[in-house]
Amino acid sequence: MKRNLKKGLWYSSAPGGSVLEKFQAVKAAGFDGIEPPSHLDQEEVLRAREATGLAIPSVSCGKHSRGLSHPDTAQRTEAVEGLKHALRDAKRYGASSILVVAGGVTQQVSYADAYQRVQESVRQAVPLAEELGVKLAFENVWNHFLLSPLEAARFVDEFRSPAVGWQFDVGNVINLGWPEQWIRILGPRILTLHIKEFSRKKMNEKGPYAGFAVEFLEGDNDWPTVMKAVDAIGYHGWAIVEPAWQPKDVDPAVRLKQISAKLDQILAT
Amino acid sequence: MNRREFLNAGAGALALAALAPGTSFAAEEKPAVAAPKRAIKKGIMWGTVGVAGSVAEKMKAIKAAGFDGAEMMSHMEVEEVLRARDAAGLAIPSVCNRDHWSKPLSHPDPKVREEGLESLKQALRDAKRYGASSVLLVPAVVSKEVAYDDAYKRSQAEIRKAIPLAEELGVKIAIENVWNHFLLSPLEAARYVDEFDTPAVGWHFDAGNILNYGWPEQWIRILGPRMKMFHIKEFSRKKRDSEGLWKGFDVKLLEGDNDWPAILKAVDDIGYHSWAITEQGGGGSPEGLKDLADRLGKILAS
Repeated sequence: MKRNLKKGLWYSSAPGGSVLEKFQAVKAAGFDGIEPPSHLDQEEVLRAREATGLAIPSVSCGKHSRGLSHPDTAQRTEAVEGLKHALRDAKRYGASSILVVAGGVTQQVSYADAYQRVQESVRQAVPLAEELGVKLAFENVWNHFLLSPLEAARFVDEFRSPAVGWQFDVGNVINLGWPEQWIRILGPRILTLHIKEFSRKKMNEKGPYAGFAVEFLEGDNDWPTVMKAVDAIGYHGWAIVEPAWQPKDVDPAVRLKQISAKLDQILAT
Repeated sequence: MNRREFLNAGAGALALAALAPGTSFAAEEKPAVAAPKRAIKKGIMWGTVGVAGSVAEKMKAIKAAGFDGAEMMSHMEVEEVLRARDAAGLAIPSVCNRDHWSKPLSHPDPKVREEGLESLKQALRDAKRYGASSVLLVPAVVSKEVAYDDAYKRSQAEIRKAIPLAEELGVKIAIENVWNHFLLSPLEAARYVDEFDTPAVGWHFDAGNILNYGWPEQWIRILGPRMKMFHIKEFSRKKRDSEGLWKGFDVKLLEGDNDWPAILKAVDDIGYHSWAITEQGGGGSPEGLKDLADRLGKILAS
C-alpha cells in the first residue's frame, strides 16, 4: 500500500559544506523535504530551498531547547529565546512545526523540577507560536524525561493549546517501549514523524547506544505494525529520516540514496 | 528473561512483623553514642538466599549473616515458615507475590487476571500471618501485546478488587518498580498510587532497577510517604554500556552507580525508617550472605 506521506531528511545527515550543497544532495537522493536546525542564515536557507524545490516541513530547535529545564533562570530564558527564534525561522520557511527537546532530567535536575520548569518556560513561547501559526512539537529523545506515553500525552494536553504537540521518534522508544503503542496513545498530538531504527539485540549485547548501530529494516521496529498505527490515527504528514548510524566506507551521496530507498520500503509496508 | 530470573535465584521473599512505619524510630535525634546512624532494619529477599537446606536452615543462615529479617515469597508453607522464623529469631517485614509475572493483572485474558488477583489475595493473607506490613506487587507487564494504557487500566481495576481485603487485614499493597516497561516516570508512579485513594496502596521502591533510566534519589523524594518498603540493589551503568543491558546488574553492592549517600539522604528526608531489603546476587553461601549483610550495613551508614 502506498501512503500519502512525504519524505524528509534530517539536515545534519546530508553531505556537503554549504546549505545549498546539503539541499542539493537531499534533493538528488529523492527526498521531498529537509529538516534544518534553527539559527541558520534565513536568506541562505530560502535561496537553497528555491534552488532545489525542497520543502521545509519542520525546523529543529533541539540544541537550544535543551536548556528549558536548566536550574539557572537565565539559561532557561535563553532557551525560550531560542524557541522564539526557531518559530520565526519556521514561519519564514513555511514549516508547520519546530522540534523541541523538553529539557532533560539529570542527577542534578530532578524529574519533578524538569516537568515544572519546561512547562513554565515553553508557555512563554506559546503566544508567539499561536500568532505565527507554527506548532511546538516535543520530541521523545534520550533525555530521561517523559518516559511514559500516557505522561507525554498529558504533558502536551496541560498546555491547553493547539499550538503544542509531539514530534514522534520511532527509534528512540524501543529501549523502553513499543512505538506503535506510543503512536496510538499520542494520536492526533503527533505533528511530525521521525524515522529511526533500533536493535534490542544490540542493546542487550553491547549496551543501549549500540542499539542504534543497525540498518533500517534490520532492527526491532515492527514497521508494518508501526505504519498501521500511523494510518489508524489518521496521520499523513511527513516521515523524516534521522539516521543514527552510518555504515563504514559508503560514499555519503550513495548512502543518501540507500536511505531514501529504505524509507520507500518502510512507507510501503 | 526478567530481573528475578537474572538473579540466579528462584523466587521469594519473606519478611517480618514490621513495626508500623512511623513508630518510635525517629532518627532525627542523634544519640551521642556510636549507634547505627539509621534505625532501618536489614532484610534479604528470600529468593536470593542460595544456601542449601530447609526453610529453617536458610533462616538460620540469614540470621547468622547479620540480617534482621527476610522477605518471603507468598504461597509457602506458612506454619513451617513461622516455626523457622521464630527459631531463628528473624522478622518478616514483607511478602513477595509469587505469580505477578506469570499471571499479571494486565493480562488480556480476564481468567488469567482473576488468577493473578487470587494470588495477590493469598499473598495478603500470608503477610497477615507473618506479621508483614506489606506485599510486594508487580502491578502489570507491558509488552508488545499488552499496551501501556491497557496495562494501566486493567491493573488498577484488578488491584481495586483486592483493596477491601488489604484494608481489612491491615496489610498494604506495595507496588514495585521493576523492568516491566510500566510506570517509567516517578510522577506517574505517584499518580498511579494516589488514584486508588487509599492508604492501603503504596510503593515498594527498588533502587537498582531505576538506574538504567533515572535516579533513585529523585524517585524517593517524589514518592515520599508512598514508599512503604525499600529494595537495595546495585546497578552499573558502565557495565551496561560496555557489556550489555542486563550486565548492569552484575555488580556488587557499593561497586555500581547508586549514589548511596544521596539515596539515604533522600530516605531520611522523607522520614522513611522501615526496612532495607537486599535483592542482589551473591547469597549462595554463608560467606556471601555475610558479605551482603556487611555491604548493606555500610550502605545504611553512608
